[in-house]
Amino acid sequence: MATSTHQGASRPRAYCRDAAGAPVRRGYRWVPTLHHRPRHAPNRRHADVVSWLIGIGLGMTLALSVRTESFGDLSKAGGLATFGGRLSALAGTYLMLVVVLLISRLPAIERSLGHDKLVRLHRRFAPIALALIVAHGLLITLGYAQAASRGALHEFWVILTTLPGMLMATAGFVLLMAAGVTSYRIARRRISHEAWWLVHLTTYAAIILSFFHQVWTGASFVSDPVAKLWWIGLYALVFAAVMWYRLLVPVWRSAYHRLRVVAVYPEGSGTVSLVLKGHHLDRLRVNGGQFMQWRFLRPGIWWQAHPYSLSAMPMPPYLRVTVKDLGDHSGQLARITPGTRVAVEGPYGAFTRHAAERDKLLLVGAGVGVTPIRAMLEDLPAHADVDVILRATTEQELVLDEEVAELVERRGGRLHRLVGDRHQVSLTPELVRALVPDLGERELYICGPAGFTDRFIAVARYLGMRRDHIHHEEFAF
Amino acid sequence: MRRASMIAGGAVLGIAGVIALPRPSTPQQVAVAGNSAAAGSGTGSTASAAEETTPGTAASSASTRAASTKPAARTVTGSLATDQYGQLQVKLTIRNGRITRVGFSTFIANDGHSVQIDQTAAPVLIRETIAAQSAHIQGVSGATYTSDAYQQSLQAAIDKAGLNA
Repeated sequence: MATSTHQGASRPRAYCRDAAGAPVRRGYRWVPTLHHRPRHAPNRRHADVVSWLIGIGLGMTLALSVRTESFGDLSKAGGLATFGGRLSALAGTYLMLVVVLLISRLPAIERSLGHDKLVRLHRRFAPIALALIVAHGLLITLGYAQAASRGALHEFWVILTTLPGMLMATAGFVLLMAAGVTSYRIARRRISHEAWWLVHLTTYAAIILSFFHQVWTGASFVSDPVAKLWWIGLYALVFAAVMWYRLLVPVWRSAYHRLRVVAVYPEGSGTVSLVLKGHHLDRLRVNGGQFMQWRFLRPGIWWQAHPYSLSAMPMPPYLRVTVKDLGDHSGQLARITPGTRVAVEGPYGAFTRHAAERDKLLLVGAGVGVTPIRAMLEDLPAHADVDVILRATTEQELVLDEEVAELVERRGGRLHRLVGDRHQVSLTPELVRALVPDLGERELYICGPAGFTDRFIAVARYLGMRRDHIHHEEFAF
Repeated sequence: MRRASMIAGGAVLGIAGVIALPRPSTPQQVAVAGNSAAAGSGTGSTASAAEETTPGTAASSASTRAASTKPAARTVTGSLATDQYGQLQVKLTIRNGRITRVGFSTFIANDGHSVQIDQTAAPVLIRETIAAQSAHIQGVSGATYTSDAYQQSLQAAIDKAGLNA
């Protein structure tokens, strides 16, 4: 059995070494530190307020559209289809604005719900919005065709060529559908992340393009100045949130902190740590376990943003990330040499101490998924009781484990290393219960590849752990 | 789940809020491509006299310019035709005895559905008029009331202009 359990074992090691394996300058030596000062707790009420506002907005949007209708209209030729078409247009567009807001990095929801949960919600509801918009196109064409006693195709052509803003709206529709289709799992596997991202970027254009046919021809807006004002305000609000939190704040933050790579050193097989130096890092509101989007400003790769967890709490003027060289940018990490300027977004993520309500925790990190666990170990409250499980296929892939061991020892916790392939280490309820006998009193934080985390969560659930006591973050974004 | 019920509760509040709001006055200006009266969204009693050029081309600024630089053209307004769904008044531009443009000095629909029907019907009616050079046009099926009102106002305008059609 290749499982070894170390009770707070710690081996001395220089944490920062250069490519030749020699310890780098003293200034970059990364000393695990316990941070006991209060951190930046998210306010959960903010997400509640946003939920209420989203609901009120939905109600207003639907009601404003329905009140321009009368029962007389419904009984006319095509009345029902037209009414359904309008309703699905408003519901679909409203939902589309909401899913854009979900990923706008609005701090009120970003900090309490967490980035990966918001992305999941975005993925779940965006297809519904698209389906409603497809239904809108079909139903309106059918309804108008019935009203004018024309064939549906002919009517479609008439609508396209005579109603204002319709050509733009159709172009927007095509872009939206492209973003939807390229996001399906089958398509995502076949195209690069960057190609997907570029297609997705055009949805902003799509939403603006489709705006004009709404206010120029939309029955509820043409005839009702209140509805029109509400609708324009809604668009302005979402547009402002996106511009502010996705563009201006990151640009400002990057300029303010002026980060540069100062050291790159290997941590294990295919894994490197990057040490970055910047200004005013004491002003960066980071909780252990959060990640940032990193843009390395080098020709050819500057436009790609990579989500990497901070693998240690900031030690002004230094930050550290630990990265496994995989995916589209494999080999590109070689181009990230000391001196490279870095633009950042974030920090994001709710995978922090604030997600837990108990003091007894089980932290599980698989592979490079150890990075947020490593940072969180510095950031947990002093009285936290920690059990840590590190999982790797080989000893070389067990990265940062000395640092983790040192922190666990200083906290009086227990560290378990599970090394070996999945045949050597089979993740069973018996194994987990043997490692962590008091699992039922703990909250679980887990980060690693989806296959491992799914399996571990299933085991924890089998052993009776409550769903809201499980916090996980997938690092394969 | 908790947040889902908040969203649902919010939706109920939103619907209630809108119901509590006063309803907008219903008669509305119909937006017809090229008719600058369409730009206003109010209850427009003062519709401007923009004209429709050949079907498809739609530039309200271009039509005003054309009207001022070509003195040979004259404009004639038809009668105000009213029915249960709204009212309209045709405005023709006549050059060398031919109808070159059709616009509306008034085009109001009483409800949202009629706005949609009128928006679809108007370009067709205008196209038919320019082709026929008379009020003897086919009309738009599904927009019978609008077509009848249009033909009535158009005939009055043609009579006033003294076109023998």
